[in-house]
Amino acid sequence: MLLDADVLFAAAYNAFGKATFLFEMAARSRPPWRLLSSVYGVEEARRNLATKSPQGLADFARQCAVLEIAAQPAAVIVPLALPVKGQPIWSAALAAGATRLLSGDVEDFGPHMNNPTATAGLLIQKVGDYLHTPTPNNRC
Amino acid sequence: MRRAMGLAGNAVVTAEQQGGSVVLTPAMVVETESYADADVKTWVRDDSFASGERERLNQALARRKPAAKRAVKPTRR
Repeated sequence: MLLDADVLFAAAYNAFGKATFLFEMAARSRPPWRLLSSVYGVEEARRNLATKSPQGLADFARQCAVLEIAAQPAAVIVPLALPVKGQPIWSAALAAGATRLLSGDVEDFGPHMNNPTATAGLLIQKVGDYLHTPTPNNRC
Repeated sequence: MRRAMGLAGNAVVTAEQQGGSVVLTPAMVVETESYADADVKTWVRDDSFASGERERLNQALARRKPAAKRAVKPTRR
């Protein structure tokens, strides 16, 4: 699954939260999921941490070691009614073949959440919704 | 070549030196968002576990199979 910048930010900002939990599980020897993000997402999270919570940058660096970085396509593969700032992460998730895009950004992604038939099969969810969604085949 | 790469007239590319070559990669320019304090508060609230929630998730995950190893389409750092 591919993580939006706000999820990366939350993981470094709140050491005991659900986003951090995703990373803790992904770092296990037999992880239940794989975590991806894009260069754009990582950079947005890093810049905001640097201004809002610089003490989280060390955790952020450790978490980045668990992340796989998906390529950032130059063009949107499947159009979706999103503000311009939401397009890069959407494009990266599709191009990487992710099955889920986790985001807390309800302003951009809220109208498209939990509706994969309208989002090219990519399930867009909040972290909390994902953690409580059964995933029998674990293809994340 | 520009058509094949989807590069229009004023397309943005990044240029990297690799050995004796210059590699051009299609790119896009997007404003980086600065998070509002209110948004950060909302995310942290949503991010917090309810009492016992984390333990229940751990138990549920212990019953799951590990994630399948799939190749990620072009991956780079």
